Amino acid sequence: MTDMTNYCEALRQVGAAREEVPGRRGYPGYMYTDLAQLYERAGRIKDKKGSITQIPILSMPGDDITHPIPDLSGYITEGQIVMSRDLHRAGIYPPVNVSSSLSRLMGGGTGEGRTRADHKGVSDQLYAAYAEGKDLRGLVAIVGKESLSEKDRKLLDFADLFEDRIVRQGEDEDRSIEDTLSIAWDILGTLDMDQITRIDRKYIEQYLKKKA
Amino acid sequence: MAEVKVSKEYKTISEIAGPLIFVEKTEPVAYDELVSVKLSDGSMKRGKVLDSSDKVIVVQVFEGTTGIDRSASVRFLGETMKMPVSKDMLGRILSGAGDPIDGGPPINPEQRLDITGAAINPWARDSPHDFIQTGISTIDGMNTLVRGQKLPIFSGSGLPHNDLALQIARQAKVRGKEEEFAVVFVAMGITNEEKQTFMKEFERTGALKNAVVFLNLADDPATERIVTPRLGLTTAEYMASSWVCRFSSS
Repeated sequence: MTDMTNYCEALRQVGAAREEVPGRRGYPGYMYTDLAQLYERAGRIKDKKGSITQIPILSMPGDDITHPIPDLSGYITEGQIVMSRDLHRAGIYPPVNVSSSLSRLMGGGTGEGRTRADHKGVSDQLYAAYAEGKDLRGLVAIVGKESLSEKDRKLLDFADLFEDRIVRQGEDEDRSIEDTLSIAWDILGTLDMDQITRIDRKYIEQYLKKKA
Repeated sequence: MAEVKVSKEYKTISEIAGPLIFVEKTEPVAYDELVSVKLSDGSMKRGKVLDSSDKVIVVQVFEGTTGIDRSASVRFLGETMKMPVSKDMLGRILSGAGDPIDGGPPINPEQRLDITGAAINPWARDSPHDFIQTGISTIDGMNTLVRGQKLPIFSGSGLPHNDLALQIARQAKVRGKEEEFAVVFVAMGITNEEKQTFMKEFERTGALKNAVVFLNLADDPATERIVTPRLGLTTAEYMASSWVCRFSSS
């Protein structure tokens, strides 16, 4: 559903015409209820085959995540994918801001028999290393790249690699989960062994060796 | 259904405000009841009851209140808004009000479903855990989507969220199981240019054959925009319950 922001504007318009008492930023006080009535129609029902998965899209006015529309949506939905203007400016498609995105139901849908046994560890490791690399960017802006240790420099490069290889992909590029994980192992290979702390030893031996 | 209500025509419009008309109450009407408004020039508009608790009934008119005056007559239809649904809806492009805009024939309904849907019994809910592969690394690898989840995309104006939505609509699948997968794509308040892009993309990529597309434009009335996602969800529920196994609404 795109764009939920336009939907909420329509709610506000009707609310204003009814001369209702406005809530935050002029949106009606029942907007939370109204949004829940839509979002909660997603789900699985026991003993039924069919299910409904929803991907509502909303544009945050002024990129403000505390605006009532993303705020109320975030309470109801099971996570969010956040788009980043910085990545978009850097020419990366799709500009998904991995650090502030979250899927609350990821745990139940990943791992052996669902995706692959190493998925959880790999994604944790990518998160951690990318976050450290991004932090270091701030530091580099002040002290320069030369003053970084060898290990930190690897993390810094890892953040660029992550954005370039994992985040960036073509509009017609359909990557299987195996493709995604093998790219992940590829870029994890640029780090030192003692920097990979979140993946089970046996998976490191199984997958990282092949790439080395 | 209860016995057919022989509905009366009321000529008691007391006020018009934006998309709303206020009708003075004469006999009990129900919340959410459908309303037809006959204008003095003979044309018809549809609406629904927003408030029936007071002496004055508030009616929301879907097509906007332009042309309505005190001589217009109002008829309460005795039922809530229904959506005609059918298996033949796959591959169709509909307006935000559910009428075909792809030049094809009208939808031949198999059922007419209430657009507010039935609430899911919380006890009957099952926890979602089947991996949906979207083909996007940042989603599959880092923020995995599962069947039955509601996962929004928080974007900003000018960012390519619609491209991403189209890509997900095109690529999403559950692996290993031969299950049917249908996409209901609901667009609200889009520009004419975006509408052309959506229609072209769905046809070009062949994604349309497994999809039902609802397009509500920016110049369509606000009241229609409130109905559009409900039409989409009703269609999805029909498909999920009848034969196609799931839907993803982007």
